[in-house]
Amino acid sequence: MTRFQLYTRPLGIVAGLALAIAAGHASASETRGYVVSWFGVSTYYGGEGDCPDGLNPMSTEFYKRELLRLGYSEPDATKLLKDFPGNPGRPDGEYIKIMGTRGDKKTNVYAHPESAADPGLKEVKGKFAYGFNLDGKTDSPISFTDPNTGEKGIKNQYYRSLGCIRSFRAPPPAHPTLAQAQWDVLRDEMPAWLIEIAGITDSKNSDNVTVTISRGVDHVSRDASGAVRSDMSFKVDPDQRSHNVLHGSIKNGILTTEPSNIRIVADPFLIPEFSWKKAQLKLELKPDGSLNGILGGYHDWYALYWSYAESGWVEEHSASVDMPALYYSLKRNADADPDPTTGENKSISTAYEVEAVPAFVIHTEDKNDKKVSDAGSTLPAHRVEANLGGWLRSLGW
Amino acid sequence: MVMSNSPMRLFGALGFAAAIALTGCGQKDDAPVTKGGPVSLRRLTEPEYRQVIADVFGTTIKVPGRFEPDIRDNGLIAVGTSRESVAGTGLEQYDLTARGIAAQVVDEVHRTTLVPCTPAKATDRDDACAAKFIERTGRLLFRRPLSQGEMATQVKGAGESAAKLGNFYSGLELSVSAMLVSPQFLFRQEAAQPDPDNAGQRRLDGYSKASRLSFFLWDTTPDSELLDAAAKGDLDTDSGIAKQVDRMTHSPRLAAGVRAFFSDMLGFDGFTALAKDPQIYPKYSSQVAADAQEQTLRTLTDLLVTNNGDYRDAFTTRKTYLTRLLGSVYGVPVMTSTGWEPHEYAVDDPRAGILMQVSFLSLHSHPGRSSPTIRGKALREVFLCQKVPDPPGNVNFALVQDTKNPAFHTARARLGAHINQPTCAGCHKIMDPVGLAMENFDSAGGFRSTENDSLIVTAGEIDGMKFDDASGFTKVIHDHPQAPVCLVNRIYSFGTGRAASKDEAEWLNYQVKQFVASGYKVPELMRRIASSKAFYRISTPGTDANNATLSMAGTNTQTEALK
Amino acid sequence: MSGTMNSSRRNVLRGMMGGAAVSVGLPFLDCFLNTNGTALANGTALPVAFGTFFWGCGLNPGRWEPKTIGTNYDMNIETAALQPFKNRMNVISGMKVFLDGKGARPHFTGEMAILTGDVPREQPNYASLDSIVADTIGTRTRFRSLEVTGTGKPTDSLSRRSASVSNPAEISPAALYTRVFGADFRDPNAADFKPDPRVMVRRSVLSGVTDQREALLKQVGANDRQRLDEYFTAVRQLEQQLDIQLQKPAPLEACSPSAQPTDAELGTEIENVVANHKLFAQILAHAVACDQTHVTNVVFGEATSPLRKAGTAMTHHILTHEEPMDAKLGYQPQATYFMGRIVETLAFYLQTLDSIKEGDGTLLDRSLILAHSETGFAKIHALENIPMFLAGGAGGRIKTGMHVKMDGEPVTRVGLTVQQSLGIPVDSWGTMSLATSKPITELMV
Repeated sequence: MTRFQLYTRPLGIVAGLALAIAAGHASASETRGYVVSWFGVSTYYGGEGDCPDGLNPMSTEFYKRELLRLGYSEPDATKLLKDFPGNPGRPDGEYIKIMGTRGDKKTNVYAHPESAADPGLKEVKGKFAYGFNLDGKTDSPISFTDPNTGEKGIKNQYYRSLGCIRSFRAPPPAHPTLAQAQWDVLRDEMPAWLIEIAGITDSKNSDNVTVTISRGVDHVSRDASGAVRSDMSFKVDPDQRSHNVLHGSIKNGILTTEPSNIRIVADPFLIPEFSWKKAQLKLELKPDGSLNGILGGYHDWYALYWSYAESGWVEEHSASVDMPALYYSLKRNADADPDPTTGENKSISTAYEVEAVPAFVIHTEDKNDKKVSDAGSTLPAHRVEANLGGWLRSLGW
Repeated sequence: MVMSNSPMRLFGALGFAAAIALTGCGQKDDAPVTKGGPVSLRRLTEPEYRQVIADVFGTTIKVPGRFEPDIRDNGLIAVGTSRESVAGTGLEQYDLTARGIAAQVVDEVHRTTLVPCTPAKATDRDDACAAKFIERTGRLLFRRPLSQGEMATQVKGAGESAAKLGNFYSGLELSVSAMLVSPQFLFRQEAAQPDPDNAGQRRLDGYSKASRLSFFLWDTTPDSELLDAAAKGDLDTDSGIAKQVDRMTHSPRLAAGVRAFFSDMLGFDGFTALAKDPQIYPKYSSQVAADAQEQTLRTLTDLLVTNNGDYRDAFTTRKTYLTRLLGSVYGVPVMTSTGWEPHEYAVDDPRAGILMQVSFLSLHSHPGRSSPTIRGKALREVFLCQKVPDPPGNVNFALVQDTKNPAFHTARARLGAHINQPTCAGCHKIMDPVGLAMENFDSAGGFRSTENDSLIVTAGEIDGMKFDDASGFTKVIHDHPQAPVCLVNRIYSFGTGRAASKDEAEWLNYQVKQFVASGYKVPELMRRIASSKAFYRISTPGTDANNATLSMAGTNTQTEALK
Repeated sequence: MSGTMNSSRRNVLRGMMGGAAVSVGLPFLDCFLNTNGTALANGTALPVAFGTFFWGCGLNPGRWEPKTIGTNYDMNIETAALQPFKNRMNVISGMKVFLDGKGARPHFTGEMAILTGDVPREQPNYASLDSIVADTIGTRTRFRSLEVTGTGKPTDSLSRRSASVSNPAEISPAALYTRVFGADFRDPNAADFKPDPRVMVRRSVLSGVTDQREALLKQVGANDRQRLDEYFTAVRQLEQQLDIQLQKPAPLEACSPSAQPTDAELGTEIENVVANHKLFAQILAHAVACDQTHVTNVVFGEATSPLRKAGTAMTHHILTHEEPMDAKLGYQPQATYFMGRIVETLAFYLQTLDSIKEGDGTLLDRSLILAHSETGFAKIHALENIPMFLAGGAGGRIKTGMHVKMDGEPVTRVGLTVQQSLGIPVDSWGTMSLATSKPITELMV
């Protein structure tokens, strides 16, 4: 018990043991611990008004379009589509190769999307999106309005690119398919993400709080209802790459942090690591002890593109993400961080949904404790399978 | 009924406990003489079966299949085993299990270590080698050497099977499965012989004593040394028994006996059928239930065996062991990612002792709500050996369990309304105050300070002893004079496989005195019982007339005797 | 049934079974039955099957009994799901339990009286009805009887071989399936039959155990002698099972094992319980159709009915006592919901039996299912007007299509009717005031 010097209590326990806390801490300030229970790209769903040009085609549709463009006859294209990956029989090697080189018939289109012409991605033209006013401007043409608060000047160009792809659309409370599928896999395997909020004097209003975002050594557990188990203990990974200290305040039960960089190691299945600039958090401290809100900031857009494209046809076909189309769209919509030479923007405004449940966050200084600083180095088998590189190499690329 | 005046009786006992402290106890064996009990025939319980297989064939042998449910009698499965038989469906299961075990015993992985010889030809019978194996294995399974006739039958059966199936090991496999479904294995059948020291009386034979000792202290079949002692006649003498008891109580395996006793007494078999509503208690899972039982057993063995502590401290100790899963239920951080670590509740933590652990709290609750009545009944029956009468028929339970009734926010309020009915008041007075003291814990063992936004009050009174809160309650149970009386009774029953008889009340009182004088040390109590004459004494036919069972409620008889 | 006929049938079988796992078309196998499907072609009648279906906490008086007595009745509101079977079953209302001064133990007394003919003070004193029946009709099958319960507790079985030996219930459909249709299952329609030498060896092993009986019984006292004797009875049953496995089974038209089921979650949540009971129904029906057993026992949760809806704390049992009577409806709507689900599951069970065609009839026609609860009006633990049903024609051994109102008659008359119609030589049954020598004559053939 003496091995850990500090742990952060989850909220529920604070309430249950009010006396214990009062005895141990003379000041009224408290620190609460959480483990992230949901994380996924924020894509506002407002119905048809989001995408007046319609939704992007399903992968079978844009694959057929590409086959015809490549000169296949209608019957040949139809026949090839029958052999679509996942269909019975599945002679998919040939098919994948055609699609994977659809730009110039020789280059890997996922690694080199510019080998293909821009097929055009239908993008969001609606008024609303979640996120932050990252550049402080309220009247720029790319601004959205927050549908809940009415705040103007929201920047979320990432949503503009993704928002008319079917697998990124879902009416709440459902989560978009792709984000849900990714999180469902990662949740039980990826070292957990931890949040600590220090300096809470009043859970409704506290002027000066410190938010620490870090990565744990252990993954989350589930409870009997299948949800992320609350009040579990997590040791913090001392790896400084995933250690972020933010400052902010709580007003009317909503925690908002000041702009800061946030970097956290994730998992190659999602993205090897996130690294946001000018990032902010807006989290509601809910009565049941959980957190619910948004993380927003500028992110290197190519890293986001590659987080989809690295799986090649797998996500392209299963999530109907036309990779070259996405590439050109992100490049077009990038809105920050211009390259000094080319002038092209390197970063794009993003927003992610964050939910977290109470947890004990344990800081340890014992050098003998198992340190997991590079969890991405070993991949579970099923994720290797989903990895494009290996697959394409096996086809002789 | 019997309970209605128990507070008065218990006060008597309280006075008695004080008297013990004053007078102390002599060390020499001046125990009252008992008439003994019948020669017993006890079916192996499922945990015993599993432990025996692990000890005889090794822990890598899986025990497949399920078992006939055990019967609980006089508070213990150990007592129920003296009533159990085997039904057709049950034997079918034993047969499946036996065949599953036997196949593993002779498989290529295990035969090298478990079969002590190599057959002349693997494809044919080899009676000499088979005999070696059967002699060694049979002695451990039957808890005595096989008779000549049994040896001949087994060797012949193995040989014929081997010849028929063209495989030596298939013969052995059949032999193992035959022994595992035989009554000599499934039942611990004791044997009596004329007592040379007391003409006309009988005594247990050495092997029967060895089994009693071994299952009592170690929860398993006698080891080779104990069987040797039986063979040499050592167990026919007090000094021979003392020597073995000494060896066994100083072995780390004593913890297994203590664990077996408490998981029986605490009714942990009830967890098999226990379910909680995952929507109401999402934190409760089958893994939490397994950890919860282990937590209580670790708490007890750590206190009672490792630290040779005071049994009564089991109700108040702040020391326990936790896993992370349990930590999430108890709301405390747990450093160790997987596995157990010691934990000490904070001084002002409402939890203390085994009654406030998830195992007791969840086992004695409904799937969707706590039950002060069930918890109160369980505490009385399990720890105080008091029998709470069944509810009468045609009771109107209106209001009691409607947890959403706007007029009655807490269980205390609902029960208060309920026991205004005179037919219910008598029993609920016995159960409810005890259970209400634990109302800060929900059906899954989680802490709560309010129910439906009303503060939960845990103050109360049990058998004339008042308490302000849960912590005070645990202290009252700690000091309850019936708790050690009950424990002694239960441990004795656990060892003998029967409820104590009325004739043994005085002897039990004597043991209680010794237990109190020893500082409530459980290993010492077990040593004393295992070394006593009463533990092995068998009644002479014809003198059983007064051997009526000392009923559970009849612990009052004991209490009276204690005055 | 000439010899020529037999040998040609054998040839047919061989031809059909040339490939593995051939499912046999019905027209082919019909020739193994006599013309009306009630007997095997070798002249043996298709055996009668007996089953019990128990549920706790009764039905609401006035809402389950048919309004009219005798034939041409209609089911009432709470039994409407059984309407399709009204001509294939009997409804028995009005019967009661006599206590003879022994206190009623809520929920326990009723089930004991119906199934053992006795009101015990503490532990049961007698074997249960299904065991008595099984001793006559169940001795030639692999399983003397099969017990199931869908609420997760193996102890929730009302089947007992004797006062001290109860037959534990299977709680998992998957496990039951493996037990019946797993490795030891001999498909009666399989062409080739070779006695398994391992079974022969096991059989001789058990003989070895049986040989010790006399010697062992001598060593113990009277009580323990009875317990050991029960053990040896179990050994003899197992020997018989093995004997049956060593004989070529008669082909059975309707025998086609159902698919390996996947359990719904075990527990007391009503949807899961119903789902598991539907799986049990399939397996039990096929087990009977394949002649693996003649006696089945279903317990839809113990007498203090533990059924509940997900997310709620109140069980069916608790609701029957505590839910207020709805002034307008005149009953307890929440508790009644569970009754509906129980009757629905019973109807599914009968439907499943009826879906197995055997010649002109169905498995239901040669079955007799005693479905019953342990109380009339559960709110007050009433021991009057306990709902009881006898479904199926027992192979023509009992009349069907009747509502018999037996106000104030002892429940044991049903047990006696069952025994006598199934050919068990017994002239009276029950203890003290429950003793009766009168079956329900209206139903006797």
